[in-house]
Amino acid sequence: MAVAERVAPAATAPPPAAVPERSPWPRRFVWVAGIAALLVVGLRFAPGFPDRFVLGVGSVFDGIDTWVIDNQRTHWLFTGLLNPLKDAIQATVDGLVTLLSRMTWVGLVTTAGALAGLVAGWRMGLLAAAGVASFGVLGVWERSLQTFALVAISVVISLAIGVPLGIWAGRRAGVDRALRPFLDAMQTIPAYSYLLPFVLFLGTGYPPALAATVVFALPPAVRLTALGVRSVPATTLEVATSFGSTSRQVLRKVQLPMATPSIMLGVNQTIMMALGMVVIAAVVAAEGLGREVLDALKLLRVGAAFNAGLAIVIMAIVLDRVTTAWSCRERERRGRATRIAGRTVSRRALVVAAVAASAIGVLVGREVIRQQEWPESLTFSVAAPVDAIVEWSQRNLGDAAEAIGAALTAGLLDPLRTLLTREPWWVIAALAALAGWKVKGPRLAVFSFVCVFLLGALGTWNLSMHTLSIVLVAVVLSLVVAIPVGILASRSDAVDRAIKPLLDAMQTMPAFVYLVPVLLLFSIGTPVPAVIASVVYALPVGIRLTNLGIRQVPATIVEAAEAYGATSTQRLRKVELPLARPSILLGVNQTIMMVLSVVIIGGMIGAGGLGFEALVALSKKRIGQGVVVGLSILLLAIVLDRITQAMGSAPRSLRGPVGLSGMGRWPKLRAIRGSVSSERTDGTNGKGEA
Amino acid sequence: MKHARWVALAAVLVLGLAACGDVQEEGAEPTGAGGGATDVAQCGSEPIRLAVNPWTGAAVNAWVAKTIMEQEMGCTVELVDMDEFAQFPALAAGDVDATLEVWPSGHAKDYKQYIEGGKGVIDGGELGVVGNIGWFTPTYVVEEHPEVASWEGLKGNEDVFDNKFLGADPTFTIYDEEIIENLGLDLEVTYSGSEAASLAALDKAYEAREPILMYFWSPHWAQAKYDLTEVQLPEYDEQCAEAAATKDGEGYDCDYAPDVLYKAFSDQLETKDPAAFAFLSNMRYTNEDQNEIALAVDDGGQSLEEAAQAWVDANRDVWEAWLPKA
Repeated sequence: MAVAERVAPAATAPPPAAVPERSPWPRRFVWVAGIAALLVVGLRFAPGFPDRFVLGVGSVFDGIDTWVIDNQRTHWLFTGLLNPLKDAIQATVDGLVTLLSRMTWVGLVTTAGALAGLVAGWRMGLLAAAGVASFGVLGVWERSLQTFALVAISVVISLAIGVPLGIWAGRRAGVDRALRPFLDAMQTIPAYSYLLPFVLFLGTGYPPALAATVVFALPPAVRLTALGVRSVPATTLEVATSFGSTSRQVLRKVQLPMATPSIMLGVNQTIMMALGMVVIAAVVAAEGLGREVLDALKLLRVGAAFNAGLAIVIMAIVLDRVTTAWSCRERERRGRATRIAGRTVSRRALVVAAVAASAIGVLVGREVIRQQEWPESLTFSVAAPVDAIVEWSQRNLGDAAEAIGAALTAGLLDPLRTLLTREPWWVIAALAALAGWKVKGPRLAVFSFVCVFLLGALGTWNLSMHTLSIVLVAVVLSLVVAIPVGILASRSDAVDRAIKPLLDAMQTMPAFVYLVPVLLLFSIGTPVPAVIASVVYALPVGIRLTNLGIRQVPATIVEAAEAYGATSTQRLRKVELPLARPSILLGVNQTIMMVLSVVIIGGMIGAGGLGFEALVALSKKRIGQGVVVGLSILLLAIVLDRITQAMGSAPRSLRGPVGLSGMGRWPKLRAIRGSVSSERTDGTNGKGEA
Repeated sequence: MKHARWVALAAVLVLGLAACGDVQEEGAEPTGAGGGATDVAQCGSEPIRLAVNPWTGAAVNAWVAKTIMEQEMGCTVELVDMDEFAQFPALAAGDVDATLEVWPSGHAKDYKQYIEGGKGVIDGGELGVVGNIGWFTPTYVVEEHPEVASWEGLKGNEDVFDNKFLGADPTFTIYDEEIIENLGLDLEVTYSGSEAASLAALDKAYEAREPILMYFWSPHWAQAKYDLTEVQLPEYDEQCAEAAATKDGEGYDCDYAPDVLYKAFSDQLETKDPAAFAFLSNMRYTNEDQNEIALAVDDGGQSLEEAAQAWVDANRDVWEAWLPKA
């Protein structure tokens, strides 16, 4: 275990006196003193970023809207290409919605159940049927069909582009390197920055929504396909080549089959990302659940927004579980027949049964029950109870929340923001460079310095520092909660099981849904609500990766520690936490990325900073400003990501796919890692906790 | 994979079943039955698409138009929900045919670019409803401190509001900081960031019966739910008009200008459907009309459809004049 020897000072609290020579204190003191000196010196110089270095990047783009408005009736780009494309997308999604609704609710519930049952086992079949039925029960039947149709088509398109690209990148390292910055950008730049161009070029409704969704959902498909192809052992490839396989044969018979688990994980992630864009889709007038969420929020109907959000969560959970179970079964089955009630049933018989079940369902729905839409009498909206809960907390927790908010503002947010905006730009850049140097080396140091400089050159210095201060506070709060809870969950299976659905819901519920209830509790007009909302969103990933890291510590090592008489606390501090360090640091990295994404959305609830600027650009239709803000967010994210990634110095196979992705389900990492190395190394098999 | 064939066959079978058309539900009426008078111009067969912005007033206009057009003119009207920023591009591209409630203060640039520039959008005339932006405070505050009902009384008594003023979404038309400075008021502006956030702040203050002074406007559903009083600011005058138009608000010291809400159409609507075009151009009603329906929806819990129908049934004299003659 190479990791064990490299335990960093930070992970071990004051060591016992027996080994004074390893004490980290003096060195750490030098660092702290140096940084403090730098900050103090910095205060004597002009704050911020000098105007003369600011490049007018935005104005380059400002003519685009006028050009589009002038030419959209005549130019070939519109008449010959974009308009037909737009009509085709609209017609396809509309067609799928019509088809789904004509299958009737009875038909859809049985079809979903039968299909999921066929590919992923009867438990998943029941889950899928119940999930589809719940859309009806929640009273959002049609909206759910629309969302599902949009997500399904977006995912198909993402995979159609992403898998071939991924294969290419997997086989050619150069392509991989060339694609990475684009993939990072696609996942980091908030949709608000590019919605306006999409609306100008593709109009409103499903087409721009689909384009935005594909932008966000494509990266995991590319990354995980590339990872799968790349991680086929070189020896295997050599064997194939030495037997005289052509390049195409190697791809089809060796690389793709061996990459299948990773590609399946890519499919799963692509679906999750696509669902993450549901609310954004509604902003450009696409029909669906997102519309319900946005409308409800404008009218301050928290319960109604939650009701629609719950449908999104259910759709995400069902699709996640079914695709995961599907890929696991595909891997396991391989030529084995299924057994039901002790008898072997052929694959063909199962298919026939599933088809028959869906056909009967559709027939019954159309001819016997004669109802397309879910009957109103069978609905139960959770809106009223949720509203009651919100009202109760407003009345009873309002004062406490207000006090917490005030303390947070006065104690952390305001001082940090003042400090960051008061320092000259080069102090911040130097700090970033120092951090880069310490965790990796001179190259990362230079890279970080340049990125911070560019941030200033874009002309968004103060906004970026504002956003950074909120992100830092939110990240610290998230970790302070997440790591202890993660430790707790790693110690107790019961806790683990109990919080799992809650974590799933926190990760898939669109942040928009809880922006308003958070607002009702915490101080409006300050960044506090955004901090709270981003902590809610980022907690699961921190908890999960801490939990995962500790659980992955090999049992033999833990036993050895116990045999030497380590107490439970010692075991945790000296063995488990140090060994879980890479996983926990990955959690830190992911927490930062997720916090950043919500802090950006937080712009609409008074958090200010870059997110707010993105909204202003959208509503005032300033394309250039949108581009500048998008790039600033990208730079900020890249610096934070690269430094924290290097800190964790996780194996490259781990870094690739998880790099800069906004929303993910990182426990599945274990599956990635499993596919890469589990067969050979320790006892952790590839199935993880799925 | 061998079973792929089966799955394909299965899919075809199920989809084939489903593709036979909509289920005729029991009791469902055949659509598009125009029961109107014979001398009213009738719509063509293509659906008319109306943009609906996410606030009640916009939805009320659209439902009133839809109800009358479908019942009197045999039109098919589709309502398309969309955010404000998207509606002008949508009109220009012909994705929607009309939007019925544009707030001029928020769309000066669009008006210039799309309407005056002749880029696919035309001015559809006034809606008749006049929007009013201003400073509002819950009436319970004014009852306790009657002096704050006007800016003269507010001056010197800003501590009633803890010297705080809640600004709204800074993308709206706002001159609060200028007004405060130029009237010599001792107030500090914080921006909520969005309409939802402002509403949350209002709801919170109202619940606790705490004082709050904020940027708000009417018509808005919250005006019915919360009893608000507008703080009287100096009357809007030439000088303020000039400050707003040419000096980026510098020197602005009066009330906000009234927003005369207007309709905007795609320039293809007239050729696409002259009857619908004529009707929508003629459509015009008052704040009271719109409020009556909005109240029934926001406060009375009726659906938009019911509330619009009730108003249409009771106000034939108002809308009869909108109908185009054949």
